[in-house]
Amino acid sequence: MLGKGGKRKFDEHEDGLEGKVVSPTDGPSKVSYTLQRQTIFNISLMKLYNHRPLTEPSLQKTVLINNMLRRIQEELKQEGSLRPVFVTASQPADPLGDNFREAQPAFSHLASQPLLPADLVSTTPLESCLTPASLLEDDTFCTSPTVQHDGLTKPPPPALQPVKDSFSSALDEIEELCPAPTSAEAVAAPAATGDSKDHPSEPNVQKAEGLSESRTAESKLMDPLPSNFEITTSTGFLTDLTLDDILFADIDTSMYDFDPCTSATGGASKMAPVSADELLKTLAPYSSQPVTPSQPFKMDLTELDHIMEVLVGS
Amino acid sequence: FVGAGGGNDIQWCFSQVKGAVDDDVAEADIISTVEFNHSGELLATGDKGGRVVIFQQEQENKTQSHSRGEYNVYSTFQSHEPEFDYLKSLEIEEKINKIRWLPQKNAAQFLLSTNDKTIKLWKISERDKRPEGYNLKEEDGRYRDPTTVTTLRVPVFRPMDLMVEASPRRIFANAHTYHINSISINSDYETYLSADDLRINLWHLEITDRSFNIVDIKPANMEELTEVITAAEFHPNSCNTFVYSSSKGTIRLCDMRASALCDRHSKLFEEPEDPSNRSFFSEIISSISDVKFSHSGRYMMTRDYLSVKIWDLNMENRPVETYQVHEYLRSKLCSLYENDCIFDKFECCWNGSDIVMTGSYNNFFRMFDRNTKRDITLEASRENNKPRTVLKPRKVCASGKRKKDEISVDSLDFNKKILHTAWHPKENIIAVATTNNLYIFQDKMN
Repeated sequence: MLGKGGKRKFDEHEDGLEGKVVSPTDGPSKVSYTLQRQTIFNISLMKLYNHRPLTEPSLQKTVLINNMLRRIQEELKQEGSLRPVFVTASQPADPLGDNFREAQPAFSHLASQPLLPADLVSTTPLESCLTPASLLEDDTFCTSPTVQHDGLTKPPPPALQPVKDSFSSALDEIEELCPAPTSAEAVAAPAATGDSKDHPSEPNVQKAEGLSESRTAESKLMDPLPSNFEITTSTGFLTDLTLDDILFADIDTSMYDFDPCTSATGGASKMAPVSADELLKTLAPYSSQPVTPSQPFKMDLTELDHIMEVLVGS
Repeated sequence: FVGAGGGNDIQWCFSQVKGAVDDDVAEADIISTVEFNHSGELLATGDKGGRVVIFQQEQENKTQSHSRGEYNVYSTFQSHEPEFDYLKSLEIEEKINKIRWLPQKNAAQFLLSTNDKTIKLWKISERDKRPEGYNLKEEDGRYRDPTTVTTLRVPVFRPMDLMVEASPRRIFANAHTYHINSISINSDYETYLSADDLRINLWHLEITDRSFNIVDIKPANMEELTEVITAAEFHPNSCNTFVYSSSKGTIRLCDMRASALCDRHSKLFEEPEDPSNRSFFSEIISSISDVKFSHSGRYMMTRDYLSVKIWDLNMENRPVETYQVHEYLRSKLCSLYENDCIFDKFECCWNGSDIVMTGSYNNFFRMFDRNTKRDITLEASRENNKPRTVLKPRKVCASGKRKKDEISVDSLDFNKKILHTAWHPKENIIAVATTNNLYIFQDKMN
């Protein structure tokens, strides 16, 4: 940050995003809104995960960036709840559908909310969802009503549950491999900064607090790296967030490839690039292949393995 | 501005600048806090390298009526050293986050200085005499054989060159899991508070092995954390009252008499969001970076990214005044988020209850007069700054045709930020810290 006073320049295309307070309800600028949102989303992720400081990162900054990501995620979720969400049972014979059926369990059990598909499968009929009119006009997220209702009324696949259990036990194994210093931390914290002669009479309040923290942390199975919670809450958040997006994109992609499901308006073709873009750009740091927004994004198991590796290994 | 002639604007003149001249800034020299003591005679700075430098004002020279005394280095000492947290494998920075002076009770001066984890009470004392005339030691310092000492010689104090010694008298450690952002001395002058991201602790100045937790906003599940404490301060007159600000733009006033743990505020100050200004960055720019009571204690001032707000303690639902510091940055928030400038923590300070001052980019700083509603932008730079020449007001051109002498937003240097400023408690003397230099400005005395 302390250069010789050189001013950083922003990218050309992003110049267009500046200077405008774009709200989601602006009709024509909806695309630039989503573009800006996506840019901010990516910047936020980069900030959380590319930073390897020698000192503890600022908690305030981490919290603010997390809130930003959460807000964007909420928006995406709300927009996503209008998309025709379907469940595996309704698309039996298509090869991509098979892929999807295989892929979905691999992802869904990673989601910290096992009922996440249920979130997407909104139980309220489309008509009663509040939708900014612009969403319906520009990026027609919804397709034919019949498909909508099919998707909406199906419960989440029961296959999720057993898969989750087997995976979470695998997760536990990984946890065991990672050091879990939360309990040790509380006991050792008084000793960590060792120059004061006040150790013997260390306030018991701090110690007791630290120990109870460690118990609550360890009781959460879905937390892959409990040791990092005190330092960066973002680690747990990434697991939550990125997988949601992958999940979204997965569903979208299948929708995109399904002729019966795309509407006559061709809305899905507009819809896919938005979500695929987000996913592509999010994954860009992890993949060496150049990705272009126009490529239809096909998820296969090797990519899944790669992503799993990255997430669990970080 | 309030001036000697009543209603005249203050005319600020450059007085001094301290620090290295070169453009290459050594990381350790970055100034991280500036604070006058209660009389204004001493001015302390803390830096990223953990050092404290104290300047002392020269006694006013009767013959030199044109300017007030200059500030010269009085004492320099290493307050904090870097530490290593072996458990988390992270360094604990030695950067001095805050310095607060205690009121003077005897010949010595006392101040509290803190880094992210540890607060220290330093005693600064002068020594200008030493005892001489002992006949108990040889020339080389060895004690003489007592049987050879035949006379009784009483040593006499003789003057010596002034020596200023700083010694740590108390070390308040191991009470903060998170990074300390504020310390504030109570008006009882016996206790003080220290605040980190999630907790506020109350200490007694004499007791280092115990502190009481008075605010705790840590959620049971850290994943639910969405708000942190950003600053805290005791009320200048009520020893039971303090305020703390948050990253969501709220200020809570707490009364320690209400309960031991002040998790429920007595007052909550929050301005509803302006829907026309809503953006992705609304929350981040609402995060309060500093909160300061006016000297009277009736008002408090908060600084968020783009503005300074004055609150009347009797009115919680909105500030009584809002001053825009650099509104032209509102359209640049995405870039400022990308380069992290949006997280810069600007401080603010009062002159009594009438004028407030805060910093900005490009080494600009701003002052707002609450009475005349006038504001001014000045620049802290070595160029064009001669002693006793009045500083030229600066202007940033937000858009459109740039007038002569105006600076366009795009040519602002965002690496030159003024985060820390201080106002002398009694006179119109201000200290303004650029990255690694300390500027002192005075009003033009007629």
